[in-house]
Amino acid sequence: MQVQTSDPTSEPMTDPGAHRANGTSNPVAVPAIVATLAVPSHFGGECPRSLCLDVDTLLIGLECIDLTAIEAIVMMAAELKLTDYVPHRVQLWRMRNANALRRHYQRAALDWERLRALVVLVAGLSRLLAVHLRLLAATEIQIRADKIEALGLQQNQRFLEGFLERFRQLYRSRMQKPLPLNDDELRELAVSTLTQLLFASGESGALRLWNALLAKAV
Amino acid sequence: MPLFRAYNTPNCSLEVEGIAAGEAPQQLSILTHFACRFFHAPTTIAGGKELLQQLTAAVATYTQVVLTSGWGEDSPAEVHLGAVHLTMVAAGTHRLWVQAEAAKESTKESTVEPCEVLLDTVQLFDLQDGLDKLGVDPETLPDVRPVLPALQQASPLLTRVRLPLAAAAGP
Repeated sequence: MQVQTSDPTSEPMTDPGAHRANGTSNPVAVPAIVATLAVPSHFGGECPRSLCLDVDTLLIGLECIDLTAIEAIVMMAAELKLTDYVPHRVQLWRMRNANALRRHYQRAALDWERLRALVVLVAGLSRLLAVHLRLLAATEIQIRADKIEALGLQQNQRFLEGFLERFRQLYRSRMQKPLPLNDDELRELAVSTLTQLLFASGESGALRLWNALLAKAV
Repeated sequence: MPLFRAYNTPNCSLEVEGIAAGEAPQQLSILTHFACRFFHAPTTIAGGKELLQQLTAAVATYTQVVLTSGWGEDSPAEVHLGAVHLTMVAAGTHRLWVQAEAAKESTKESTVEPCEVLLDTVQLFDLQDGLDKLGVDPETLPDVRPVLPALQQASPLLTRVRLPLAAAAGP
């Protein structure tokens, strides 16, 4: 994917914590890499809450594979000139708290620009982790087909179990109690998050991920 | 001058043959033949441009269904576009097949062979990735772009299923 930047000299936001209700009032031009993800008109100015939830879940999925995923996201934001949206870890944490299930849930929803920047970053990091995503997804299929013993790939099974267990722990520790999901549903969520991250690691991954997120947004 | 391009992913290879008709000598702008080979099965999907477009659109639409439903979906997903069919056989297993008669009707190509292949989700991803690599390559078929399936408003059922989750968390 070609990385194009907006005006690199544009000044960083003075108040990174302020959530704008509507991206149209943004004085800084939207970077081209973010603008490739189109916002459909039928959503209007308000960004659906389920998107904030889904993007946070994807980030948790990435953290389960790479413990330094958050630092990587912040560094990648600087590389792609997205520091207006994700200047540092604290701001990223604030953005993730737009997830309604979070313990520190903030009622303000994300604006479209920040959300799209996050999707671009999630897809970018998935591409770096593509090998691991592929291995985990393939292992999940082999377990379903009951082929692990025959193939002698028990070490991969433990790798996947570690991923699922870490997902369960991270999700439980960060979300409100009681969590409306039981352990089986959490496992299903982890596996579908893994599939989404796998497809996000492809050539037009950000577009595919964005479209899929929008299709189930409410 | 005939041009040949290949887009390889770990599970499938997409080969494209054509000629340059425009001013750019390296731009493959007229497709004469494409072949999509899978490494796990002796299956090749081959045909002309219309079949390629049908395959691109069908795979993109189906991928979207897989991504939005996850693997634990109860009702099986099915996409039928021209001669190309994709259905979910079981969770994580997908069947892709091309009908020869439908291909003759819809693409006016008589050389299309019927074929069928089972793909798991990783292999489906590789097929999608190969088609996307072709789609974003400006040097090959500039009019074939990555297809994004049309978005519909979330169905009432989806709203019923997903809203309580957010509502349960709200203070």
